[in-house]
Amino acid sequence: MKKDQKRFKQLQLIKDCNNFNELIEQIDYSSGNTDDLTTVVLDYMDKQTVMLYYESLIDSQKQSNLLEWMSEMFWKTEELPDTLDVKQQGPNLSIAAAINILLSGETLIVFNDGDTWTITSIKSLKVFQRSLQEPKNEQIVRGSHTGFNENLIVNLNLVRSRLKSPHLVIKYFTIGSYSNTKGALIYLNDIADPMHVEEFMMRLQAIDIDLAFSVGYIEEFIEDSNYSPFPQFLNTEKPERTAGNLIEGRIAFILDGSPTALLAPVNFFSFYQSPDDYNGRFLVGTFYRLLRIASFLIALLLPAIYIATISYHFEIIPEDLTLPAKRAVENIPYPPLVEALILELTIELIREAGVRLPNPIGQTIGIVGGLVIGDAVVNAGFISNLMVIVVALTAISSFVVPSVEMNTTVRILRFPFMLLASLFGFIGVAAGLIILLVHLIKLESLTSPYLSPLAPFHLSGIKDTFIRLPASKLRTRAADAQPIKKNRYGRNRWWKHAKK
Amino acid sequence: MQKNSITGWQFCFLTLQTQMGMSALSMPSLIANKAGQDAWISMILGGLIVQVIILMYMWLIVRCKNSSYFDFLAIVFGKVIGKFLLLLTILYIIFIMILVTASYQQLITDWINIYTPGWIIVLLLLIPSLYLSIDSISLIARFSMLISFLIPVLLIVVLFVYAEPQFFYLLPIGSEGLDSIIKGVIPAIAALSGFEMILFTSHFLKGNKLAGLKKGMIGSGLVTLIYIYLIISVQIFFYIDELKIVPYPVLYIMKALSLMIIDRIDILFLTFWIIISTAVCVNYLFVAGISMQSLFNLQAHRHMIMVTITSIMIFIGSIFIDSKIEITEIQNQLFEVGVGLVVLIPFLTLIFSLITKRLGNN
Repeated sequence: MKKDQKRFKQLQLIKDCNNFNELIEQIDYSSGNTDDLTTVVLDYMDKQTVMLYYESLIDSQKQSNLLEWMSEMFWKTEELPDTLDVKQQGPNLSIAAAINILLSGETLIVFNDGDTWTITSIKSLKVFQRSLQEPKNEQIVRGSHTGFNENLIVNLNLVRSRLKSPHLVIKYFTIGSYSNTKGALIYLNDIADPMHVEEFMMRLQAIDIDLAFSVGYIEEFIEDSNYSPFPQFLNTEKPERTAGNLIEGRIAFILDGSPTALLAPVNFFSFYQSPDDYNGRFLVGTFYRLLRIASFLIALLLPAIYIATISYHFEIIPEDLTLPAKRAVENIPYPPLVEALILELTIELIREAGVRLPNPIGQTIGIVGGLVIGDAVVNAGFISNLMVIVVALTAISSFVVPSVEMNTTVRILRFPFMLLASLFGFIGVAAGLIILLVHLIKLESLTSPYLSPLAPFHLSGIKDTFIRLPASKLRTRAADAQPIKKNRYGRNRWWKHAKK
Repeated sequence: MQKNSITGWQFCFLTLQTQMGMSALSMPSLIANKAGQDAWISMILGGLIVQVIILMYMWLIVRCKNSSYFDFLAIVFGKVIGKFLLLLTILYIIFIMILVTASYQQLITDWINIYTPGWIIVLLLLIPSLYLSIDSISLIARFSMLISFLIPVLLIVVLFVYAEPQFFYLLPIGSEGLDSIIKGVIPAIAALSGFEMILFTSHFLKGNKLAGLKKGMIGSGLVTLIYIYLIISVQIFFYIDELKIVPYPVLYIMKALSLMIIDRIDILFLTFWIIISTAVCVNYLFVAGISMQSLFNLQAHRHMIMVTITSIMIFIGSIFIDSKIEITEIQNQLFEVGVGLVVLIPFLTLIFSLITKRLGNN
C-alpha cells in the first residue's frame, strides 16, 4: 500500500484530472477501492460522461431511470428533467468532497466536453424503514397510537405536522466520526429558554465519538450527572408526547436510526406523566397521577418497611394482625433480608428472561415463574407468604411508571433501602430517604432543578404534576423549563360565565 | 449568583425548620417544670421576646449591608476582638449541634432502637446532613421548604387530643403566680432557639432585604404559634404532675393513639422526625462552615473541608457527652448560656456600630 502511495500522485480537485480514467482511478483510490462504488461510463467520439454511486446506498429503481435519462441527455444534450432532485456542483469540487456526496447517498454525474467539467449530483438514497407502529413500551388506551420509526425525516415530519408553526426550529447535527449520523435538535424559538437551547447545542457539539450508536448512548455524553441513578432526559417514542413537551418549552433531540426523542429539561414528575392523563376526564387523570406517585413510594420502600417491621419494630403491627404475622414468619429459616433478596432476585430473573423471549414464551415464563415458584417456595417453607405478597406488590408497583428508564431506576434503588432496613430498622430507611431526597434536590436536568415544582417550590407547578386540573385551567407552563412565554393560552370556556 | 441567594419564603422556612427541630418534642415538660400549668403563658411571652430580639437583629442586619454578620463583627470591633467574638459564636454553634445530635441519639436509643449503639444513630443523622451542607444555601433552603410538609402531620396527629379535651387542667389561669411564669420564659426562649439563623444567613437574601427579614419573622412567629398549640394540647391531655415527669409528652400522646393499620404511630413519627433533625444539622453545619471561612479568611471552595471538620468534631463530642454527662441536666443550662450569647453579642455589636458609626461593605 505504501509503495502504491509513492507511485500514485494524489490529486485534490476533479478538474485537475486529465481524463475520465484518471478521475475514476482517483476516486477509487480515495475510497479504498471499495467494491460497491459503481461507475458507469458513456463514451462516444469526443463526448464523455460518467456516473458514480455506491450501489449499497442508492435506490436501484431510481437508478435505472437515471441511467435512461442520462443516455437520453447524452445524445440529445437536453437538461435533466425537473422531477429529479438535481444539484449543480461547482467546478472546483474536490475529490474528498465528491466522496462525501457519494456517501450521503447521492449519485454524481460528470460531463466533460474537452476541457470543462460539469458535475451534477442527484439525490437517490434508498432508505429502508419500518412502518409506523405503536411503541410497545408506551402503550396508551386512548389517543394517537403512532410512534416514531428509525428514519429521521419521517420523525421530523411527525413532529412538524403536529406543530405547524414558523416558531418550530430544527437544527441539524452530525455525530460520530465514522457513522456520520444525522441528528436534529427541535425547539420552539419563542417559548424555549435560549440559555437551555445554547447549552444543549454546546453539549451536542462537544460530543467526540466514533459511532452514534443510539439516543440512549448519546444521552450519556450530554447528561448532567453520569453517576446518578436517575435519568435526566426523558425518552419517548410518541410524537404527541414530544409535541406536548415542546409546547411546554422543552427541547427535543432526535437521532437518525433511533425511534426515540430525547427531551430536556425535564423534572422528576415528567416521568410519571402519560398522554393518557390528558385524554380522559381530569378526575381520572388526577387519580392515576396520585396512584403512580404512590407506586413510586411502594416500589421503593415497601420491602424495606416490611424487613424493618419484622426484624425491629414488631410492635407497630396492630393487635389483630400480630398472631397471623407471627405465625407466617416464625418458622422461616432465613432472616428477612435474605428472604427478600431471594424473592426479589427471582422476580428480576423472570422479568429479564421474559423481555428477551418471544411473546407467547415470555408469558409462559411469567406464569411458571410467578405462580409455580411463588407457590412452591411458600409450601416448602423457605419464604413466608407475607413476603410473597410484599414482593409481588413491589414488582407490580415498579411497572406502573410510564417510563422504562425510571422503572429500572426504582427497581435498583430498593436494594440499598432493604439493606439499610435490615441493619438499622426504620431509622436507617429514613436516613436513606434523606440522602435520596438530597440527591434529587441536587440533581439537575440541563441545568434546571430536577425536583422542580417541589424544590424550588412552585405552587402553580402542582396543578400538572401531582394532580391534573381540567385542561382549561392549565394556562401557565411548567416553571422548570423556564419558558419565555409563561402563559399557554387565554381564557377558555368564557361562555360558561357570559351573561345570557 | 443564583445559587448563593435565597428568596424571602425560603428564608422563612429556613428559620422555621431550624427552630422546630431543636426541641419541639421535649419542650412542653421542660417549661412546665418551671411554670407549672401556666406553661403556655410563658411560651407566649417567650415568643414575644424572641420577636423583639429579631427586631434588634433586623436593625443590625440593615447596618451590615451586604457583608455577613461574621464579617461585620471584625468591621465593628477590629480584628482581634471581632475574631474572638466570632470564635465564641462558632463554639456556640458547635455546642448546640452536639446537644442536638446527642439528645436525638438518646431519644432514639430510648424509644425505638434500644440495642443499636448511639454512635451509629449519630452517624445516620450526620452523614445525610454533611451530604447536603457541603452544597449551596439555595439547595439547603429548598430542602427546608420541602420537608415542611411534616409539620402539618405533627399538628394533625396531635389534634386527636381534642376528642376528649380536659380544659379545666388549664384553670385557673395564672394560678402559679407571675414569678413562676417569668421563670418559665427562659426555657421557652431556649426552646425557640434557632432564630439566630435569621442573623447568620440574612446576607444571602436576594431582592428587598427588609421584606425578606419580615418573612423570617413570620417563620419564627409560626413556630411560636405551633409551640403554643402543642403546649396547650399536651396540657389538656396530661395532668400537670404527670406532665412534669413525662419526658416527651408529644410522643406519649401518639403512643396512646392506635389506628387500624398501624399501632404505634409514635415510632413511625419519630422515624420521620429524623428528617427535621437533619434540617437543623444541615443548617447549623452550613453556618459553621461559612463562619469558619470568615474566621480563617478562607476561599469559598474550602467550605466543604470546614463543614467536614465540624461534623467530625460534633460526632466525637456527641459520643463523649453521651458517655460522660446526663444530657437533660446540662441541656437547659447550656441552652440558656448559649441563647444569652446570641442575644448579647449582636446587641453589643449593634451598640458599638451605632457609636462608631461603622457600616458593612456594599
